[in-house]
Amino acid sequence: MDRRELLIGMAGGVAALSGIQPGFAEESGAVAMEWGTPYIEASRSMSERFGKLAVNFVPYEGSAAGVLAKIKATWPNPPFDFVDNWSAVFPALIREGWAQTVSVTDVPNLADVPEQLIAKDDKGNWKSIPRSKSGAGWGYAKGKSPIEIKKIDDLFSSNLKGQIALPGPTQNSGLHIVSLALAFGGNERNIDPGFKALADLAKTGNVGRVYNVFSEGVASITSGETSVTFTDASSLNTIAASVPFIPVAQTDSSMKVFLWTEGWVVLASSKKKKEIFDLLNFSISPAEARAFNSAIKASAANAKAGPIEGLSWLDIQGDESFKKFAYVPDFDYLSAQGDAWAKRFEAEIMPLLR
Amino acid sequence: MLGLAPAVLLTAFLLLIPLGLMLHESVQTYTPGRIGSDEAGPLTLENFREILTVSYLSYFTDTFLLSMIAAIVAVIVCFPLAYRIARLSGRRARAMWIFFLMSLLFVSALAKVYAISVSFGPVGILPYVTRAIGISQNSLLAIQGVVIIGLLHYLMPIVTLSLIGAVQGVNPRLLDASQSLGASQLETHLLITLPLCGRALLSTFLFATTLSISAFVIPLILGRGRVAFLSNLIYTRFGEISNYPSGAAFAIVLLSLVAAALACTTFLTRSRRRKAAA
Repeated sequence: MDRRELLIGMAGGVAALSGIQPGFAEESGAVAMEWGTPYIEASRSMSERFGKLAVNFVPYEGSAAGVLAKIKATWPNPPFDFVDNWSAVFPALIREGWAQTVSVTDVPNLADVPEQLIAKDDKGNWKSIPRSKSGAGWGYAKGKSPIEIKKIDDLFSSNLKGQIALPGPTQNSGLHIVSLALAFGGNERNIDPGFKALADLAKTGNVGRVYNVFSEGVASITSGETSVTFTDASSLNTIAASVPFIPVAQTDSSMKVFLWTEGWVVLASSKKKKEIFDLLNFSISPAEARAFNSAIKASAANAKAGPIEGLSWLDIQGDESFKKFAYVPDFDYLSAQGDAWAKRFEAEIMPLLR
Repeated sequence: MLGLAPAVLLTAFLLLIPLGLMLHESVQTYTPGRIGSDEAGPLTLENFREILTVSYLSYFTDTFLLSMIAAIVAVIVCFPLAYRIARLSGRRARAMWIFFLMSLLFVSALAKVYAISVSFGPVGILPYVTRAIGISQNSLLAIQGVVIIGLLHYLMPIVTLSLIGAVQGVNPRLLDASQSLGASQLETHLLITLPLCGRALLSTFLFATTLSISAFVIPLILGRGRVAFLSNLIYTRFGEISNYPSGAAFAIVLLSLVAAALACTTFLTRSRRRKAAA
């Protein structure tokens, strides 16, 4: 027995003596982790329409990757049966062996989802059930931002003092840093130009806030504290409900829009896989996919669901335009960079923001 | 002594085991992309080496300096208030004040922090204040000021309640005696009340500093991402990037520094008291 086992054994002994039990999924139904408003309401409505499985949708607290710590701490008895997440976190769930393999036999509606949207393990096994295509990019509050933002150089304008709400290095897996890297000759694998540009941006005094929770970024823009940010489609929709907010898309090749997939992962530990697969099959059916994605303002992964209104900035058609204005990063690579990028941000960028 | 055994055992289990686990985690290896430590990896001090670099100095200074400033201001501001409440002649009025201070503790911390964020934000009074003192509302000084205000808001009811008991412990006859022997009110306050409350003031200051150092939501929201405490870095390590060994190392360093500061202050106070007694 090593020290770790001894310490964990002692802790377990205390827990057993005191009657403490780890959190298990509910016996009568299933427990799912889901984003907050508007996702959770849309999922609850869908689940009610399905009506064959009681699901307790638990909202995320903190970032998408936060669920990893919760699963790690309780595995093999995590308090969830299935979780909503996105392209950047799927690789970690798969690497840890927590994602249940899924097939068209389990979820027949996956036949209508383009295969490239489905997360896979090294052997090509399907591990996710995509429900949405979404994205992120730079944007600004019209009328609040002192200038119109059209290209990356505009972010460095002396007119933008304190106006940028910059996501923390772990938000959206650091896509804003990749955005700067792409504009200055790098990419996610060559991130140095991104950090150099970020350092230059920090020196301008244009960064008014660095946020580590999406709601904080949204509040910063809607309260008028800042007026420019890099945000995902759902947060953009929330901001736009309060202030006119313009996504910067298809204006200049330096301002790329990042695209990804969101969807469900059924945990291998769940004892209700069959019932959950049935529910999720229902959830990605064309009608349900359309209803859900209309509510959260994302494109449906199901090709038969049709286009969703108000998402033209994410709808980049044609190979030439796609190459010029959109980017799909290597999320598997990105998912392993969080630690290094966060530390680099803390050590190199934060001192410049003081 | 035997009667204390259950309490000692419970403390040992609830405090020492988590601490032991944390210490063990802090010397583990982390593999990027994985969740938590690499259990098969070698033990390492790299997590501590990383923290103890110049790059992280500002996080330590922000955490300790702003916490100490907030604690000092809280003690200075709350002592007269506590004195006034403790010396109120009506029992009902005193109870009302204590009830009011207690009720402040039950208000959601998040709601209070956002209230301060709005009050001292661009649509609040901050632009007027910063303009009046000639600094930018986007300056580091302005942000640090708002964080201190947030910490003060959190500390003031706790500090006041702690000091009320200390003031009540001072025999009012001593104050009457001082004044009847010719001392002014100010002299009585400075020479009798303050020395008699000295230990309570010091312990309340230490308590307030410790509470501030462990504050998480206040620097997270009011620091605007530009002023961050060690607690925020610990959260990032555990909650965002799943580097538990680094988060554990931060927690151990923070705990050690706080324990060392408390021990030093206690030692210095005791030695001063011994000298005074001699």
